[in-house]
Amino acid sequence: MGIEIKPENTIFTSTQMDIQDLYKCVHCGLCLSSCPTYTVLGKETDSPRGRIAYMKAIYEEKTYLTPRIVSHLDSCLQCRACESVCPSGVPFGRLMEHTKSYIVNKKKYSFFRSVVNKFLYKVVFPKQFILSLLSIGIKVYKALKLNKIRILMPGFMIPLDKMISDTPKEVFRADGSIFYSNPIVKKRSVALLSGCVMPIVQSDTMRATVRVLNKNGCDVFVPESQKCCGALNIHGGDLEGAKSLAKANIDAFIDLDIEAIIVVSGGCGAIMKEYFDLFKNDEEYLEKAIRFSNKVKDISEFLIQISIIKPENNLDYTVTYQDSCHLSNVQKITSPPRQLLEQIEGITIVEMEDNKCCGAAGVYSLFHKEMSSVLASSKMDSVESTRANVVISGNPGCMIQINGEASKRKSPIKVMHLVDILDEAYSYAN
Amino acid sequence: MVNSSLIKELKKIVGDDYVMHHPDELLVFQYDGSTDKALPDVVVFPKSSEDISSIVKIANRYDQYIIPRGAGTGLSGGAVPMYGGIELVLTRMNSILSIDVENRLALVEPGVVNLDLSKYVASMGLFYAPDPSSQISCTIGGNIAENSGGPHCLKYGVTTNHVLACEIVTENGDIIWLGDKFRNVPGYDLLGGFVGSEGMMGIATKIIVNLLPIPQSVKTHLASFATIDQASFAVSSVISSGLIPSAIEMMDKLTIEAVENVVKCGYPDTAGAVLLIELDGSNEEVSEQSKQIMDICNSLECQDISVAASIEERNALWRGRKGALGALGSLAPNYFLVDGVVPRTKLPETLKTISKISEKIDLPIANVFHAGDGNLHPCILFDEQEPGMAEKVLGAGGEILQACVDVGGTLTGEHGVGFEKKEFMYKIFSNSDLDQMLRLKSSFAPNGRLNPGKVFPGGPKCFDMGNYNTFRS
Repeated sequence: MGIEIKPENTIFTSTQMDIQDLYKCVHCGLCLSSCPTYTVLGKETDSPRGRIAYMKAIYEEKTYLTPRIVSHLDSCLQCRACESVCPSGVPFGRLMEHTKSYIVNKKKYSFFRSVVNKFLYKVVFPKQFILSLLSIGIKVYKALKLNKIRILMPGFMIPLDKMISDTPKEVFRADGSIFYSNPIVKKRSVALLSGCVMPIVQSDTMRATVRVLNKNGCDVFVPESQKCCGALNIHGGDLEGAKSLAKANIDAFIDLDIEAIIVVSGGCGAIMKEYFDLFKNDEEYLEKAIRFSNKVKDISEFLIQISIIKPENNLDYTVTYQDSCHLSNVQKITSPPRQLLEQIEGITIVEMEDNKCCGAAGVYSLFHKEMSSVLASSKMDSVESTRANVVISGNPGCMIQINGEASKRKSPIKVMHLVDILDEAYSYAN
Repeated sequence: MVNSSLIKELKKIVGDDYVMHHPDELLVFQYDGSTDKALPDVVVFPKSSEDISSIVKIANRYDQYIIPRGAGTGLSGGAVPMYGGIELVLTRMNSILSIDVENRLALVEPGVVNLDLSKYVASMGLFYAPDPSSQISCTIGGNIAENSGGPHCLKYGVTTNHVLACEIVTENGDIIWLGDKFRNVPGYDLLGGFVGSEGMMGIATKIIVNLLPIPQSVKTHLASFATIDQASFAVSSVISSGLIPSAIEMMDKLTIEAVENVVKCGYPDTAGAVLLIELDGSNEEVSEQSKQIMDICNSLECQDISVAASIEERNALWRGRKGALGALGSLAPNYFLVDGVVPRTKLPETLKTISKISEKIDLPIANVFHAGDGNLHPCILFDEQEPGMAEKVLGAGGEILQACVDVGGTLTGEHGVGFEKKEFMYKIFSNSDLDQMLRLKSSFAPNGRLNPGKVFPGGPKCFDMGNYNTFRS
């Protein structure tokens, strides 16, 4: 393989992109129909192959980051569906992360976008207290019943209002608590990533996770010094910010005497399993990151691995399972969640015909409203055609997105995390 | 060059969002799945036959070439705008318009993805037979242009055997129909000439294809052999025994290595070559034939032969085969794929010649192909960044095709001639043959405005209007 890496060419090298990865693409085009944006637009410009062609052209200095090229690159959801079908093994996700970082370095985003990016990546995600402020804001919003004031409720607010009104009262704090399990069964110790947004808007799910793990003999430790996983920083091109979050998490979990680091968000788990990609030039953390990543387990894969106690309750639901992109395309976890669902008596599982990205994709929906809502709508069509009354997912982003779309359509469909339905099947209270 | 009033007129037809003309955006329309590259001047995404008719008329007024494009997965440069012009991308015309279950027919638009059609009709117990390796992305329109084949064409035939009628837009913008819902059409079979005409005779805008009932039973065998010779002999033996498997695919050692690098589908790493042999039909028929296949392979000292036990196993075996080309990307940054055909009995001999060529040019050549049809796909692995490589590889490709022709074979099994192989047409056709073919093309498109510079040797214009006997003498 004789691709000449030009040392004088600073394009991408500032982000340490592995240029060889770019040249693994043989432009066969097999990725095209896996790509949600290509499927919607039918344009090569918004396809994985097209985006790689732009990266190559930039690297080879045949063009530069023009506003049009930036918009085509930026329309990528980073769902990584293309990686699953790529016969050449092109690590598209990694290429895109470096490209986003390059766009940020070159200051090619609009002023507004840059400010929002900075606020999100430098202030909101790394600092938990901002998120606490958010939770206070949510309480105020609810107390004042702001959603009853019609003028504040244009169409695009409906999904947001739905998210807010579903937010539980109590947040789930990563405060160093240990939740002990039922002592009858064999003991295991695990640690739990609480995450940044989930402990606020889906704190009930976090508590359910603890109960389900306890039920299955796991003591659950929630380290206090843990931080946001950094996935959104990486997807937004803030590799440095992601590195410092990754370091904090590695430090928080690495010396614990635990069997696994449990993650209940597909997006977080995916990035935590790839932390080592961030530390190519940092030997100390590279070694730690590899050890850390090996311990990271999605809740579904862990529960299948330890084989769970059969849930007692009979639940009369027809469910469909939404594969979160980063759970299925990156972590390659598709069957464990379904196996768990099958263990619940009374449940009928109906598969969706099309399992493309729902369009949530982290903060994508903030900057690409139109594409995001087209994808949400087509996802909802697939959901409705299954005639299920519950949608199960393993990722908070998908849940919020589908819930929002459901409330727009005034659909009675219920969106639950996999852990929520397991918890319901276990608990006697229901 | 295109001028702004042309752009304005195009935008009026399809809307601002569906015309691209800025040089930075056009970059991604200069390639398809082959090695050829050239930039279009403007790209248009029409939505209907009427759009296309209007665009063609505008092109006539502005004296512009028109290059139809589907998904751009072709392997002979068919969708590459070698001389610039208007690239007509048909991906938005992707509706399955109607299915006639009783008569097993589908009316589709050209941008429908090949596999999407089979998925759509699966619940009706039907499928669309031609299955190119790129079927997850390639379009029916593109398949018609290149008369595409695929692994299962051994039993079912190539695209032309499954197309019953096409609505086409001609070079002057007329919308006409070729063929009919019935197998027999009074008058000349113009559709037969149109399928495989690589977008030079007209643009297919609606297509009626034939669907087949999904077979009751399918068995996929993986047979491994120590040498490619033994595997080739097994292919001849299976066919001459009177069996018609739905597919017989061969992969050599290098391909197995590449596939296992990337796709990991369980091909044995000790084998010199593997065969995928698939049977379909009624339960009894398939299990009886499966026994015969086992006997034949065992009598020929195969290392191992097994049958996929589940759909997952079967899919894994095919995933390896269908991803083989892309997987070669893990061995080298570029490959040049040759699409030659030889009589099945000449497989061992031709493969030996190919391996000699590989030694001579000092580049690895991987072989992955439709062995049942004798349709070879030698892939020359190289790196385009190395100086002088392109000529070397093209030269070797020519030698391989020559070797195929020398043993009584031909230039292409399923990828079309495109830009890549047009100069080789002399190897199998006389000047008079080419002249006759050109006269047919010219009766549809006398001005050579549609996809110029493909199929026929020579430049875009002169030969289109010319006479091979005159020019070549």
